[in-house]
Amino acid sequence: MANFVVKGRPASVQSSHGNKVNWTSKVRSAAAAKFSSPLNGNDLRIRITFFYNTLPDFDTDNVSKPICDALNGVAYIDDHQLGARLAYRKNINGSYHIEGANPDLAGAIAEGEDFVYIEVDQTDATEAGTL
Amino acid sequence: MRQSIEERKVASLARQYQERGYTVLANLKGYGRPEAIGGFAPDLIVQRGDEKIVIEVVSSMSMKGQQHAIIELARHAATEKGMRFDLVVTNPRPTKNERARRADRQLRRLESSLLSNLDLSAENRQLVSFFILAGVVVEHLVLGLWDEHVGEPTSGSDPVKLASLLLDRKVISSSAFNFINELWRLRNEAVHGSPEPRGPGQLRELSSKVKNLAASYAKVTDERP
Repeated sequence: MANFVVKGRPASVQSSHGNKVNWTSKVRSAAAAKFSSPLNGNDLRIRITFFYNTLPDFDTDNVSKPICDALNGVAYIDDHQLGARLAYRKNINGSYHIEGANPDLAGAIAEGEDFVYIEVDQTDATEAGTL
Repeated sequence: MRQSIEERKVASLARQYQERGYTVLANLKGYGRPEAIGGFAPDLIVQRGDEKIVIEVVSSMSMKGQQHAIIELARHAATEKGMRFDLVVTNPRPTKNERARRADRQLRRLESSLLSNLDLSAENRQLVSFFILAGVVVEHLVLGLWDEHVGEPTSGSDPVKLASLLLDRKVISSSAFNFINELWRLRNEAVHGSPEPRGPGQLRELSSKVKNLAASYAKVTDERP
């Protein structure tokens, strides 16, 4: 599994072109530090969590699309390889328990600013077939 | 002495892990002290068999000051076989007033989004969406005024009927009532598929009247103590 943090407030599907271009570049450069080459599998899963200070006025699903597009050619060859796309949002100032927090995630939470945490992994074939 | 929110959480986690059969070391009276890991002593270390969990509890107020310690604990746990680092963030639940203020901000964002989409529909001469959006804004203004001056409106209340009763009670002016009545007629016409053709100028004028009405209503509620 690869995971990484992208600092800042994410662009959504409805964001301006300029905002989306800047965000795409941030996502790609954060991912490039974790992926030496794009993944090949066809049952990939992406989990996107937006840690926010102010409740966003956009739908969480609309945040995941620009991120999945931005990761084409970096985390995977094409986002068609994604068998599951999960998007969450979490109030950074709420109450929660992160099990197995890695240094990047723990540091970003402690900083207290908006950020997005992205995890990409291969889904288990048996899990993928379970409803 | 009053415990901080972090201390209360540490105590509660210590009890929970102990009940689940873990050996608990905690910065609490009655427990063994956790040893320093990577130069920092965490709030809790819990162990059961080969599993060892290092836990740090922070709140929004304290987390920035503990950033270095948190990163070091996480880094150390990542390199140690069988060790896991858990970060627990705890904060007071928002008060009733804070929740009300948040809900109010959310409503204002929704209103602002509706009004900007109204302008967009006027520019693009999308008559049906224009009148539906204008209808939603006006209907909710009327329902809001009714709620404020009379009581909670029943669901499915006819906004024109309510506006007429608000006129009788002198809550709204006759010009406001006439506008609401006319706009609702146009909205029904658009919804039922036969909207009168109108140019962007006429739609902009209607949009501006809707906004003025919304602004007057906001002023009335903001002025309440």
